[in-house]
Amino acid sequence: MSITVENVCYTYGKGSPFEKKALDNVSFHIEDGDFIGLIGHTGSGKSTLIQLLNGLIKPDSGKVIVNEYDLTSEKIDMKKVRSTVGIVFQYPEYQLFEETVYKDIAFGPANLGKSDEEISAIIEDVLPLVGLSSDILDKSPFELSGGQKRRVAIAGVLAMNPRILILDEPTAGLDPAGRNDILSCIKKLHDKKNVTVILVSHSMEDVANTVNKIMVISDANLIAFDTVGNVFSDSEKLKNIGLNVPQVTRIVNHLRQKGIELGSGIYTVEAAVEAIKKRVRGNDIC
Amino acid sequence: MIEVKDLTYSYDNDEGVSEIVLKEINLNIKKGEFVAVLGHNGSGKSTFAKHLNAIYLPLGGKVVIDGIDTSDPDKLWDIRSMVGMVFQNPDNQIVASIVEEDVAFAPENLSVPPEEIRKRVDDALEAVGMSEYKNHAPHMLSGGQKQRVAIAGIIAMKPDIIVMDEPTAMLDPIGRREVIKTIEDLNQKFGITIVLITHNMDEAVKAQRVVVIDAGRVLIDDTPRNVFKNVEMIRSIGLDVPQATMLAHELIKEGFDIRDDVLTVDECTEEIYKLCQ
Repeated sequence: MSITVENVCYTYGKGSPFEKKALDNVSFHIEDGDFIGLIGHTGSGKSTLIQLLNGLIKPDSGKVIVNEYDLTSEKIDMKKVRSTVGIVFQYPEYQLFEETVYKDIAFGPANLGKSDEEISAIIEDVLPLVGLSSDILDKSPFELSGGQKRRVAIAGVLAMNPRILILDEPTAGLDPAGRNDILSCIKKLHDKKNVTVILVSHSMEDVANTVNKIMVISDANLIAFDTVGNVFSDSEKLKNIGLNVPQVTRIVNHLRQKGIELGSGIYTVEAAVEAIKKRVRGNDIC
Repeated sequence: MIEVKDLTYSYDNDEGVSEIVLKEINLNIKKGEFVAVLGHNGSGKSTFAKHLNAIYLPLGGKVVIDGIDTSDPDKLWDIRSMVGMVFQNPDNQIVASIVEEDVAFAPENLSVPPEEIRKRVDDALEAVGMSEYKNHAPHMLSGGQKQRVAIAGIIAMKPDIIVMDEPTAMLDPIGRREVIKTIEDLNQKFGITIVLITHNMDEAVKAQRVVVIDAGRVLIDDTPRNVFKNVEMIRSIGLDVPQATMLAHELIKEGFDIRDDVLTVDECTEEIYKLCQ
């Protein structure tokens, strides 16, 4: 499922004293099966952008096209769009409301008109994707741990079988183990089911370890959309807009300033170890 | 300043079975120390934090703050005004619709005279760098700013100790930086004892001392350098180390001869630089 955004502008509180331009003439194209990291500091326009992608808000001008659906047209069937593009909002566990985990996950597909049999098949299908076992289905979502609640909430979105999945800081507030669990679930979804994923994150280390491409938003503008290596290679640019690059990339950049070139596009510990091995052991041979 | 002796705490789970959350914790924190407490979700670290200002009372052992036992009901208000607490979500901690009124809330409740409140509020906002926002509405502020207002509200009580339970978990990198800078200032300039509960290893590195809690017990209690050196052990209990430490550790595993206690980007750069010479 591809996404095309053309010359999109969006302003909040038009005509009020709080008028704020959230997106200013933004255009990009996301290919089917892309795994994108969306970064930008608070207030940069990230959340506005993801809300545009499933029609929660409509742009003031410009076009948003998701696969064959033109979200800006009047006649569009929003139900179809919403089942195509799933959004997992920040702290999704606060949106759990049903008596049991089963009913909570079933809420989306039930609203899409699925039968009871279909729903139970769907639930059986999504639970392992988020690493949960079926014995929690009869529990109240409110007696689960924070990490489990979040996984139930993500399962609720997956139950709609979205082809495009957008997650707004899915690891915020989790401990490192919980964070790694959620990230590997998302990675699995992308790899096995070929879901197009947009991951909004403040953690450059997480983004570097998971996505293929990075989109950087600053002050209502799309200022970079490129491979992880290319985006992180311009660490000055990111620094200027209040973002950081992963520690490993900073180390590689510092070394470059000292005259030691380990190569570009190094943003994970593994890649750095390989580059250093090559550099140091290579020297020994010479 | 803070003495924790054989602290044990448990609660009943849904099936009515008693679950031990803290088991014989012994810890002394001196005046002016900056201590980070690490542990994965459910390790007991928040339960521990809540014992420091008598939100929870020990079921076994005791917690003594500046000579006062927290389980003495007559001294509850002394404890509460000595130990301030900052929580994760700034939105849950702000009560007023104007920043300075919010900061004044605690001293008003402690019946501090009005002139003194004025001074404390101004000083507190100054300390967190939020003076220019004193007449703003808190809901219009960023997360980092709101959290700093919440911290100012605590400072206005003039506590000797501030306990922070994941104060940056819900903030973006800029907000995090602001709050961590504020915490460091409070500790260094004002000598306030800080207990910082966190999941963020880069924040823990800034403390003088790191206490790791796992399964309700103190697993390690040492300087950040000595704690993070134990990469395998830290990771085995579901925590992480800074990426710079991880990189150095992996290089050592590959047989390179570098320091095993690298903490920062600069230290790691230096070690690799030496290798490449």
